[in-house]
Amino acid sequence: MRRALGPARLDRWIERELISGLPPRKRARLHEQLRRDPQARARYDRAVSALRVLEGDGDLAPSELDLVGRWLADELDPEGAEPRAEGARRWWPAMMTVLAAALVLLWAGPLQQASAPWWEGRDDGWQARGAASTGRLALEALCVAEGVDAPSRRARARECTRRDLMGFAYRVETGIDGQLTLFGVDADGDPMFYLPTPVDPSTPAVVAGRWRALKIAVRLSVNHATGPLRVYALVSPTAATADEVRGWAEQLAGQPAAGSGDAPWIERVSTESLARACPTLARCQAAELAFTIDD
Amino acid sequence: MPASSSPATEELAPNGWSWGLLRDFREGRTTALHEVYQRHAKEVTATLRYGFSFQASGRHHRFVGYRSAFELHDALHETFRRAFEPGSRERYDGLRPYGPYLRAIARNVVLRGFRSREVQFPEVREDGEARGSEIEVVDEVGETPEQEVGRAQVRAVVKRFLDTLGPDDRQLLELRFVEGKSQRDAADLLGLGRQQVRGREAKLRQQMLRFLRKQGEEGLVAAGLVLPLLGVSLAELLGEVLR
Repeated sequence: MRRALGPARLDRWIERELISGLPPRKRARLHEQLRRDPQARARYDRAVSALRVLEGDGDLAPSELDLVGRWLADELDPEGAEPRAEGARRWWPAMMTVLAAALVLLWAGPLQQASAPWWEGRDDGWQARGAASTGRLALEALCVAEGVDAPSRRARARECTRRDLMGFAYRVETGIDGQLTLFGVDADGDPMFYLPTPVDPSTPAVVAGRWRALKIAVRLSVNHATGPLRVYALVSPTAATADEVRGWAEQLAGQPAAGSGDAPWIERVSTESLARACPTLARCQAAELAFTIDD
Repeated sequence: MPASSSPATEELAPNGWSWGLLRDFREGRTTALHEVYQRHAKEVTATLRYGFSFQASGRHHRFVGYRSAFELHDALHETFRRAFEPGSRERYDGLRPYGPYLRAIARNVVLRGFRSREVQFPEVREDGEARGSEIEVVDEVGETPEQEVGRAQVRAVVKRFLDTLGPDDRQLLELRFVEGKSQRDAADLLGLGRQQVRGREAKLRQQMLRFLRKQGEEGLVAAGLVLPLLGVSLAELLGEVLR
């Protein structure tokens, strides 16, 4: 039996399920808890009660029928609910085409200096910090609408919706080497595995000198919650495992997003959890960024 | 494949559906299944919400309907999931009306739960032996006091949420959920696009659930203060807010 969701996360999942729908795996987990836990069920029922009052019908809100309709639709059309790893692998060649065009801008434009990105000052934050020296690893998330075969499709830096595919680009300074780990923490506080994933432990070795696209594309409709997404990158001598990523994500989910002047994320997680992948902080580079996934 | 418009197919099947819908349904086409769900979800919900009588082991019972929204949703989903299984679709000939067929499935979903309770709580004879499966379901009439208070508390929170809304949002709620206008009609009246109305509705629901969450247990006022709100409709709540 899976671990029960805590009250705060339970409420967030219920809210998301009732408003826009959870991805199938999360939904199954929520339902499992609702079936066995009367208190969890009471929280769900209370939220539905409020919707019923808001929607003017004391017995049944129209959105309740839509909700069950979504459950059925997801079962009838499981294509849209495939696990992320498979989706990511299938889409990356198309994503690379779009990223390549975007990287020309990253290379030729003011982004050549990772420490002075063009979006500085925006609300959605960019933080690229290494333990030993600031700004030696930089990371960018780029989103495009699904169906990226159109050559004119524009990649948007950290302007993403749940209908988009998300790709990543990174840059490390000359002299830096190691394996790249990439993961996220979504609005529900859940870990998002990019590199490695629980089904694919491989991570790429970084290539220094210029912006480079990663060969992954993530369908944001799968597993990602609407709301803030934090993405964390690590270059380390040894590749991280999915379990290590899960542990870091859990620790970081309980902390506020980093602000200017905060320590890099590898200094905000326990040294024990880093010890294997990153025996000394000086040998690792870390970066993080935060932006919002819109509906 | 969409329904053909040839004269032969314009006639309705015996169950009242178009022949095209019946064919697409039996083939399991998503659009047809969606349409069938839209047509019949409310009546199945009514069966599950308000209950029905039945006999078991020679005794009369009454299922009083699901009080829990989640249990209701779960059973509604299970009913349609079973009805949409390939074997069930293929067996449906279109001669009988589909509503009673679905309600029979819904009853079976409920009775499955009843039977599992019978197994868990068999009646025991004086000699200590179990007496088959004769278990009587306790018939709860109306809501329990706790449920009544809970509903009243939720209404009080919704009223406080409505207090926080601007006139545009209140007008949207009034049009959609008090006057019962469609999203398209509400959009026309508000000078908005349908997608905008849809988006604003979703946002309002989300804001309200967050408000509810923020209020938490501490936000729930004493039952005595809110009981007069029982039975108050959205129209009345909006009226109070606007006064």
